[in-house]
Amino acid sequence: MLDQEALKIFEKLYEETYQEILRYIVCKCSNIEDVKDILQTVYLEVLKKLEKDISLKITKQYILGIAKNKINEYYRFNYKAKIISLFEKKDNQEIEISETIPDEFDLQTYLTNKNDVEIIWNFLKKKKIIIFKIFYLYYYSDYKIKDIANTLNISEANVKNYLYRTLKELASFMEPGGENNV
Amino acid sequence: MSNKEIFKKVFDEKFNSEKIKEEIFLKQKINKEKFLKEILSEKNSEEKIFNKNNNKKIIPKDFSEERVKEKNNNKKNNKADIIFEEKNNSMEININKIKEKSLARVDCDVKIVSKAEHTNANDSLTTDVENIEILENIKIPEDFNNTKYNLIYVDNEKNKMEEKEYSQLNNYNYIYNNTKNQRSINISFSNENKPIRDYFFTEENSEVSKINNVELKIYNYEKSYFTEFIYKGYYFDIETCDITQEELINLLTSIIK
Repeated sequence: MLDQEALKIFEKLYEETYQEILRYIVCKCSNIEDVKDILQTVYLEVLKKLEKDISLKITKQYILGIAKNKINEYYRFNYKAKIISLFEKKDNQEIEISETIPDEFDLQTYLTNKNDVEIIWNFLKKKKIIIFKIFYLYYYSDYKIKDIANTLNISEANVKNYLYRTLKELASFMEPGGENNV
Repeated sequence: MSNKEIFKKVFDEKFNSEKIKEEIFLKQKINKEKFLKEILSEKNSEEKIFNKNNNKKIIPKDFSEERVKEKNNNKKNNKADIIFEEKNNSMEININKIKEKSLARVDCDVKIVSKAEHTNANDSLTTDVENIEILENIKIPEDFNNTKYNLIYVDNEKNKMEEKEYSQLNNYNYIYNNTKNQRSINISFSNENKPIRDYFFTEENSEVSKINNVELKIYNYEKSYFTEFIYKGYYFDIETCDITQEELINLLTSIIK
């Protein structure tokens, strides 16, 4: 158990860095199921450092460094990272859409109960990891299409395609008579 | 609700920072206990090897002259201070003040599953614990506004290179707290395993308490109280933070009826 002072330092660090570290891990991981595990390992390491030396100056950059090492260790020891081509032919067809993705497929229409979160989460989890990352960055981290393309090293057209296609699929999945409601 | 709000809700729930933080603390706690267990088992196996390979008469390490002297010195130095005593017909409370706890670093892993998420009906502990009456009507401070129920799984660690299975349910963990401050009560229990914990200190010379004929040792360290005991076939391990002695006693007497 940490003493109270170390606990306060940790809580502050955690609050200040959580979103950025989470985003870093989401962008670098090979399986979305690993994110929580890696995130916890990173902050456990921070706790250990504080336990050893409470005066240690721990910055966001320092924690990002830990995250980088932990991701490398995780995939070295747990399993080899899957290499997925980001540029499969069928996904390269550009769709004429604006910079932002319109709510053309209004998911609200299909929401029915509190299980919807689980349904959407499970749907996204089954998609390619790149799709999950795009949705996370676009809807949760408020990234622009251009920033997502730069971060994930893919073209803007691909980002748009993935967003558009997946939303369409999800709407179709959730609509009455869709796969989810059969 | 726009699509953005829907997805935000999904990610907020799945990457909830508060929930993940709680799991980090719990993992830290469990990791340390596992580490200590490993050290103790390594120490025991070293002693066994030593005894097996030597044909001469062996004096077990713990009874060697030096060890006895060392233990006697430790007894003098480590004797716990009693900071609270209370005695009546049904209970005798002695709270042992701990000056220093031993902590350790570990890298092992556990899986924490909230009770709401738990779906494995095959766990032998599950059915029993659903019906556990011991924790009904327990006295929790009135300002506590949050309760979490977790199941603590450990990996069987047959092969560390393989993906972890977390197939072994070790214990249950109920956390009651006030979300506005650090006041909390953490109750771990199991009818099969001793709950895992992260603190470690000498229990020699500490005074035993008794509640309704159940013996237990209560320790205090800074703002925390710790106790472990066996009641109605369940191993209990309780750790509190920033609660009063009165609240602690109310809690214990409401469990050990």
